[in-house]
Amino acid sequence: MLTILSVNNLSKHYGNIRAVQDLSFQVKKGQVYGILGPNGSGKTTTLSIITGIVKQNNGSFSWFEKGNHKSLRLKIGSFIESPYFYPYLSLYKNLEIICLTKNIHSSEINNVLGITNLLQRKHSRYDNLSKGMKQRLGLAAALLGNPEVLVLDEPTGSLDPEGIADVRNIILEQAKNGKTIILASHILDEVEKVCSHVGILKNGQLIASGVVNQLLKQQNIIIISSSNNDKLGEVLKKALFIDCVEYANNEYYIVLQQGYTATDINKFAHDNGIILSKITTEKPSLESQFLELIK
Amino acid sequence: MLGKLFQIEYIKTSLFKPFRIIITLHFLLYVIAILFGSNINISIPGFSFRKLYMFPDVWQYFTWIASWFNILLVIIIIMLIGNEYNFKTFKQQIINSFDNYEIIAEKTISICFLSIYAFCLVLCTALISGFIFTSELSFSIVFQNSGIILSYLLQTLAFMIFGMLIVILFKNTALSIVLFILYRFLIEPIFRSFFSKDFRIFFPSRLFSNLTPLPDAFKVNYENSNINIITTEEITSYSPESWLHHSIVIVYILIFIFISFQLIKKQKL
Repeated sequence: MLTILSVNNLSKHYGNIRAVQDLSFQVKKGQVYGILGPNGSGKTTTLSIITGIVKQNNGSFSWFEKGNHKSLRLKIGSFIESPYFYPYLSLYKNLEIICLTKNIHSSEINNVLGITNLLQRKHSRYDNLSKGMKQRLGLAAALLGNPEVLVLDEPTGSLDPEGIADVRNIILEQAKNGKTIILASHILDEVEKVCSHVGILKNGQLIASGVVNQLLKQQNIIIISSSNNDKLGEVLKKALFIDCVEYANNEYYIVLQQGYTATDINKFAHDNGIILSKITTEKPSLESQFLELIK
Repeated sequence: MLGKLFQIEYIKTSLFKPFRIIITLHFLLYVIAILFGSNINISIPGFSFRKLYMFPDVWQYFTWIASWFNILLVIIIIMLIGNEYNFKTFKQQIINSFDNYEIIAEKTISICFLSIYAFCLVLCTALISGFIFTSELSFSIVFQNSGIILSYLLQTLAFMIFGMLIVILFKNTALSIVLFILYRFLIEPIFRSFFSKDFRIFFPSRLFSNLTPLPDAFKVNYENSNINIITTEEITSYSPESWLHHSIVIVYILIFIFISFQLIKKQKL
């Protein structure tokens, strides 16, 4: 499968501050790659480097296995930090400037305005738009020229729930159409819902990466209780396949060893004369994984 | 490539209201200054105001008048470039595959077109005035001294490039306008006064201004009237025909463009 982006030992520092340190990762064709990290972790710097706004101090990156020549940037639609447009110009004129810059025919403008539900406002001035509309226009600009890759930095940042849903739907739609998307966000829910792969950044370093579902598919938590919780506690001490038990809110929170399931704990309790009144399995969220990793 | 850059600049500039206001103001102020002067009927021995509106004096007089309003053209350029920093649109252009040299090129194109506009304005008004007021027309009289209009073109270009350098250096419209005015009318004149007479004329602002000197007709008048004007010394020491002066102005322009490019390259846009 074609490697769309290959980042190798990338480093960037601003004076004494190391924004990105020895960062390496790859994005394959068709992936929706989330770059997740708390504020100041180096997400925007990384995207700024790969889109040519900022020059790295060390390391390299390559687009489409062909290097980082500026002509390759024409195949990339980017939206970094927030949309940057001329406030006194209409939506159409702003996009026309981008079309001229990227040598794209202006007939595409109506198409991208249609995708982002802004067609009816195409003659409105940019500064008359709501925040959500401005974000959508940023996406429309990134979509001009039907690029193979979208690089999006916090595309739903500071939007209301409706705006977030709008922007997220557009991204999902583009992902369905086979576009490779690189998305930086500190919103875990967004990465979980939109991305197929994720890289977690902390202090400019990649501390974990992989398929989102695999990162999530770690030890499940089983929550159990019975009419006699004291006796249940005694029984659980005898179970050798339990990694960890915690008691809170009249319930036991259990992490089982690899290969054991809720059925095994139910059978074990039954065999020891306990009828469980509650047994549920809880998947740890990406949030808990993320918080654990960045500790 | 140049056509593309021009189209981009045309969209940004033509729809920018302050641009329309200032360019209209520039046009009106220049025309009013000329019309106002044409109604003055001062005639003293060796000097006639009406003569300034006739060929060949009209070239020198109109370019000198037009040079007063160069400041408005510089303000336009500072505002246009300041906007790019304010709206962070330079950054967007880089994202959209522009290079730093294309950014400088598109702004230089705007400057060239503004210079051409100013050039055409002076050319047309000078021709109209000359044909109206000159009684004895001949090819040699019409075009005698007309080369100064090219000096005026170079002057507008030089001042606007200088304005571009300042706004790229400070990345702020208001501050850059204030600094340009301070430099032009206060800082450089004070600094210049520490240097010898021969060296003073090579300071950029002085050098650019000297491309369109006070009309000869005025100088004759000053000499006749014994009026002690502080600028007379500098004015008379300048020869607008000097290829050396024009060459130095061109070198300044190239240096300013080069520094602007280097600054853009190093800046966090």
